Amino acid sequence: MQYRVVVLTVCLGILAPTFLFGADPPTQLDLTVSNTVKTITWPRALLPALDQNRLMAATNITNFAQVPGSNITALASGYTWRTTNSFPGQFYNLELIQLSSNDLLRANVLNRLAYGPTPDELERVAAIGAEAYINEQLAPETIPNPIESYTVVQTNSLGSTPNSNWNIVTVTGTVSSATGPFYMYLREIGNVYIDSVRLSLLFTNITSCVTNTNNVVTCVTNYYLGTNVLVNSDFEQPLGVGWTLGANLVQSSSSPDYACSGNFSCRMVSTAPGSTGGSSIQQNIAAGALINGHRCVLSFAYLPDSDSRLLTLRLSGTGIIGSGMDDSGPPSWIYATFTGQSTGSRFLYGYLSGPGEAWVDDVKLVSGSVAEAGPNLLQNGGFESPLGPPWFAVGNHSGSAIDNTVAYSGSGSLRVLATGNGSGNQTNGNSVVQTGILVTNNGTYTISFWYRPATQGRRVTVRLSGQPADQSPDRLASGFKRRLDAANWGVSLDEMRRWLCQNAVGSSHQLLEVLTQFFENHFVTYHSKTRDFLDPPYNDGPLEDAIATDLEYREVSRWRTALLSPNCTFYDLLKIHAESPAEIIYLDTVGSRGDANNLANENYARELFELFCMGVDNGYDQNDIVAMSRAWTGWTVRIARREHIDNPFAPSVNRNGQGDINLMQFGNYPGLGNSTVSNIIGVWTFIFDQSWHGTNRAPILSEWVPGTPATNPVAMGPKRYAARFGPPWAGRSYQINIPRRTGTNAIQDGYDVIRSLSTNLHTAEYLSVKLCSLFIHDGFPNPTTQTNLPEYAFYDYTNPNRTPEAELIRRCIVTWDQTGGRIRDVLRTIFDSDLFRSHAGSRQKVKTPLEFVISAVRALNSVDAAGQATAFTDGNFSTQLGRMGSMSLFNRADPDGYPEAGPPWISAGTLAERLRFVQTLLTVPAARTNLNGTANGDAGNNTADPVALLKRKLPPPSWNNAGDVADFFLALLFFGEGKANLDLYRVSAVSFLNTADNGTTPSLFSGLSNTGPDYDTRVRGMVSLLMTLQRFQEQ
Amino acid sequence: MRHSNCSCNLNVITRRNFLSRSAKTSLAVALSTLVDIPLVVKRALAEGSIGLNGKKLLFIWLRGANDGLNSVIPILDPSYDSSRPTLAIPPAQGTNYSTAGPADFPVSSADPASPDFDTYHFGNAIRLGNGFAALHPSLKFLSPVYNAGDLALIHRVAYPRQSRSHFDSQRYWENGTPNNNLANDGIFYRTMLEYLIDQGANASPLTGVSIQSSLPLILRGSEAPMTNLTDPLRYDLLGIPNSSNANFKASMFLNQANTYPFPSKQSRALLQLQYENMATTLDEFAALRPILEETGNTFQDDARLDGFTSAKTDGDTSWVPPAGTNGNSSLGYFLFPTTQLKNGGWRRPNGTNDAGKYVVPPSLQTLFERIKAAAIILNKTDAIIAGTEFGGFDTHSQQGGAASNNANSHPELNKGFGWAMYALRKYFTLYEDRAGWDDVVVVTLTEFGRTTIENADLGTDHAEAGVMFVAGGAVNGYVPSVRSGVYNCNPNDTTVPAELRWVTGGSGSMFGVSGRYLRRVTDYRQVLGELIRDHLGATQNQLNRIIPGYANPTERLLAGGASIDGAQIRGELGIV
Repeated sequence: MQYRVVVLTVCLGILAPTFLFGADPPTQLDLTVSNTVKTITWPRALLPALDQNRLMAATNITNFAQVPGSNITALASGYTWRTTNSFPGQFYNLELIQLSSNDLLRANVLNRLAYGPTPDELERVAAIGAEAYINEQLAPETIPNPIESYTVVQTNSLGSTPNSNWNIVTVTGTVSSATGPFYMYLREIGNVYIDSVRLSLLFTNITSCVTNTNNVVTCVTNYYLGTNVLVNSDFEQPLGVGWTLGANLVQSSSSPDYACSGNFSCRMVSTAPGSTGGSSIQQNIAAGALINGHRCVLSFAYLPDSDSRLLTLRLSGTGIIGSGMDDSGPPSWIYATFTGQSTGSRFLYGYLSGPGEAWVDDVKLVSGSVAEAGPNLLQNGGFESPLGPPWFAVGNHSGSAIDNTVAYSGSGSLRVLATGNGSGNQTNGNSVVQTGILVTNNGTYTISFWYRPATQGRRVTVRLSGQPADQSPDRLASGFKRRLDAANWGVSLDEMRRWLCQNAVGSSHQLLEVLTQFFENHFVTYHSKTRDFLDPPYNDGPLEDAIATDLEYREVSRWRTALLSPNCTFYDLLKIHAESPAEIIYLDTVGSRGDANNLANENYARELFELFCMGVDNGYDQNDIVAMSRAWTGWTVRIARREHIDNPFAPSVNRNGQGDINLMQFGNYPGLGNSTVSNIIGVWTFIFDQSWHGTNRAPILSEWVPGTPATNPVAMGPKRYAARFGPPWAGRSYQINIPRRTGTNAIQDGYDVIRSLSTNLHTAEYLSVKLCSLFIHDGFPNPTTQTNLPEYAFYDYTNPNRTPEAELIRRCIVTWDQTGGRIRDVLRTIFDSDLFRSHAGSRQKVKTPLEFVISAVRALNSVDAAGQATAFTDGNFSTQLGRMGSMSLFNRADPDGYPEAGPPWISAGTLAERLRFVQTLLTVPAARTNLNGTANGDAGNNTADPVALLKRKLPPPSWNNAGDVADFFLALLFFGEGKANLDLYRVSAVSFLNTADNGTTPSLFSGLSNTGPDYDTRVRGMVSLLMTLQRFQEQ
Repeated sequence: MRHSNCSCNLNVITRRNFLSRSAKTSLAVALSTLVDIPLVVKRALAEGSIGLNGKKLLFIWLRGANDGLNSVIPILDPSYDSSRPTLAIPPAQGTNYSTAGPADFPVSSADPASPDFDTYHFGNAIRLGNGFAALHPSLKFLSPVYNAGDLALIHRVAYPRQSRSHFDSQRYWENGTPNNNLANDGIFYRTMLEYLIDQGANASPLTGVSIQSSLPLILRGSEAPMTNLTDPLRYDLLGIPNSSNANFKASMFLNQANTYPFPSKQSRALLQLQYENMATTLDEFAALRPILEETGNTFQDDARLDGFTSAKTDGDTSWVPPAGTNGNSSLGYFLFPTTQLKNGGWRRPNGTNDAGKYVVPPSLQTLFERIKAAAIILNKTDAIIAGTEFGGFDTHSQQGGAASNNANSHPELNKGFGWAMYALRKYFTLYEDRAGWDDVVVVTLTEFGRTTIENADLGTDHAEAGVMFVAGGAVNGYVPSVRSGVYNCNPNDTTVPAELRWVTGGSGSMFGVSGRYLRRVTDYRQVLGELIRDHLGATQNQLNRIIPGYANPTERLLAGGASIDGAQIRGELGIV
């Protein structure tokens, strides 16, 4: 019997009336008939996020009934339904039902406003709704963020009696003028108390030789001081005894007000800046007391008050100089604790990350995971007794000793003194080590201690021998932030990256984290270039790293603070960048001069137009760059006193040591004799050097006289907004006219430029394009005002048939124009748009390497009330991000930042690295080995426990149900994709769970013990499978 | 940690079984996307001989814009010296730069064992023998290549309506369509596409390869997969195999699941292509790994090719390879300085170590890992184009003149590609397998040149025309008394149309645009176009597709004339 092919209506089912679909065309159903068998087939992948294929059949077009879904066969090639009924004619109707609009929006907000969903956030957003999540994330100041909160602990400084506020300065140097004189002075007008000044030769001898079981003799070098060569340096007698006072210091006296030792100190009163000779309090050294070329140590105590300024004590010549009052503030004791497993090796090490000093006190090692709970397994951990066996100070830490002047508790602490990088290796390393500790292999132990950093740029490590994890203090986001905020140059770039990545994984301020990375990347700076800049004055790798990191952190933390304000505008962010020392160094403004015949460096001016504000060829030209470059001349970076960190007119020094402080005077690490220049005081900051400034000659953003001189263009009228902007903007002038200013007023030139650029429509347009590329998809080309380019027509806002993308940009520009570029309003415009809320944007973006690794950890990371997590990260992704495409955070060499679009990141080699990361993440750490059997670091210290996760989230009856387990992870990893499109993934996942390790033998998942290793391996393998698939690259 | 006693970990994939499951299908899938192109359907027969004639191309991207005027130096232009008070490379006393003949190759006449015998002891401009121009002393190793007739130095290369943005300019150099930001596939990608279309299922899975942090635009496109290696030594396996059964299971399921169709979205086609490409190319790289690691072999110079009586590089007859390098003491320096021990004659005969004997700065060791990988891939596989990049050429400040003042200064960077081209010639000559030196062209790309006048930071800013370096056995370089290897940099060069010859002085060529930039005389597309057509074997029709607008008469790329922006340019140079 012959049937006519009957048709089909195809309709798109709509669950929520406000829902917008992509413009996907209706599809064809194929009907084949043989004898009485009718076969309906239709292809796969008809719509994004397809949740359900609902096939309806009817013999009467008004009376459709759904065919049972279980009778539909789903294959890679498509869907098939067969029937053997013998009706002569039949109608069919396929309804394609997409994910509900609520589910879609939830997926979009978690994939865009956050670094992907976590299991807990999925539940929370389902409960509060996507709109509430958007509102909350747009106001991060209203949500607590425990991950990087910390409490300051200061135990022996402010708040106690003045006498305990004495700051002790100790420096070591080499005598270059054996008879002095010895000078004490303030470099500005002010007062200070000084006491306990001591200048002595430094001698060494060898003591404490130890013979170990292999008869290897290890000896410890001890340092000791000769007698104090100064007289009346405790100031117990009138100041006239031993000291000569310069005219500017005659009001100084021996004072009973305060004393660090004895009953008197020196009250120094300076009525004019001191330097040497006649402008100091000085003392000649008795002949023979000091020896030229010999090492010596200077120490003193000082008590600052509100009028104190820049104290210097030094021996004539360049040999030994100490200073106070301009360090990073009162020293504080910091508590650190770490729990880990012992390897059974019976050594505990303490050391610094480079030459320098620090104090450590109350080191405790207890069994179990609770700090200080139980007997201390260490001897003399309070350092109240002399440092003898079982403590040994070895290698480059052999100068370490008990210090009875500084303590967290009791009267003594360990003063760690290092002449180089520390390391742990029994008694052959470079550390302070305790031997013979009673620990058992694989036992869990907890270390706790207090430390007081002294040398900038040095980190303290206290750890058990062989501990696999990182044991240095404060390795959580809160600890990194505390150290970064202290600005004591004690944090390396890698540590700052760990702060950023831990926040990206765990912060409740997800949108703030996304925006932080976005603006950090938009306003790109280059850590390595700052390090190069700092190399001449320091010549100390770790310290250069730490200072360059400090400059990165200062701009990032300023952006974060600005973004926490509801009124933050783009101008605020742009201003932070313009004033950032990291930027001034990076884009060469630091040496740019416009005075005399100097040609200003154009680098910053060019990138300010092209990359940070308007977009390339979007409303400016080369002559504007030349004209604008002069505005930035004089914006440089110098070292100034810490209280001047935000004062661009502060007295400062430049890199060559010219200025009111000579950098090269500050020659040595405190407490050490190294011939480096690493203890330069002060802070690197933005300084406006008016003598380098060149007054602007022509208005910026002008039309230029044809053939205008390249280095001094001549304007003939303003630039005006192009016709494509339409009313009310087209034709309006956006010229920047800067008055001729002189002196410090000329700093205003730069602010005039960014004030104008921040509200320029091209800036509004270009930043909106970048934000839409971040939050929606990659299909927003860069705008241009060059009429011959196709992008001009794309962003022609007068075109009534413009694309939805162009229309959204126009709306963003309107918002920007109305609010002066207020960030939250622009974001709100984007989040409220149809594009954001439709399938046009969902899963259209390929994750960047950073988004990929963060989302992988987040996807498996559920944290319970007790803080127990099912996935762990130490935030250290540097190696992995490097391999996935050289994504070196805070260290992008090119000023365009890392790409947001997918194609630059996608290639076989970089994808292979992504797969390796996920596979290793899902592997039990003990089994992470390479072909050659060595440990595999492909996922670093990142671990995940999917079984713990599923047991936390699924009821016990589901634990051995392959379908339930597969559904759970599918919903977690591909949230935002519909069930119908995922059905083959589900088939694979269930099949994987029900297949033995050889890949062929059936082995029912339901038969595995859910506490056994086979179950664990099966689940890990299945999750790994899903996360290596292409769809997990998308967000 | 759960169940750490279990060693039978499953979620890992080996290269081999991943490959075996997917190789057969993937290329067909990849190419199936191509046949939808109507143009392709019309062309049933193979066209041209890309990939069939055995010719290969190796590119080195000098990112940041190399200063052409301090690389190939117009030493006899009086305005050169006066425009660059601190950066100008001084002429050598007693050298007559107007003499025609071979290039100088300054080797110290002192005892090579002496501590004063540095590799780059010469601090002056090196005479090129074209009667006008000179080489930067850090490029001294280009001299032997030049004198062998294997090097073309092409000055004044740029494109119309020059953007002075790095990112625009790099994009145009890579996508081949100046002033078009929407073209998102690259010149070399399209070259490989022509080959893939011609060869269909017979095509090699390995066509275009870059060795750098990510696939560059020049090799990127959405219809056929090119390959990028971040680290060539890590690409031969996926995951961490420790159980062959488990590997089989994981790779089987991965391959199966990766065939499932999904609705089209942005980048999905590219993801699919690159997942498949990963599978098809893994095996190739696994086989190369021992060679890349130089286990049991190593690559050394033989200076006799350049007329030295000894095989030792640079006349350094007393040099011996340091212990642990596997070197042959009868041969010269290692061609690929991938470690300090392999970096020139670093260890002097008396046992002292001396950075003065390095041939490249140690910071470029990674670059030479990559150049070595690119060379080996071309020599040992079917790959047709391979390349890498290095940055740092954006020398706005403290650029450095003849001598380096830091590791990133221009003279140090010059050493990198100078030695690279020298080493590649030796590699493809001495270690030829599937590609000899006559089969290979090495070309440098850089987005523009730098300002003629140095700035107040002792650097140079963005400008227009720069220099391209093209080397290869088939390159039309220096032939004694017939032809020089320098193009576009000699006022007396009669092969250049009179109105385009170099003009010296303060209103001359160096100030041709805006009073401070070099104006272009040759378009970069002409150079790449010649290489693609006359070396790699594209037909003119193919070239017109590879470089859109190549045959557009207003562009004047074929015969020269007034270009689209009114500037006069030369016709094709005939460099191969």
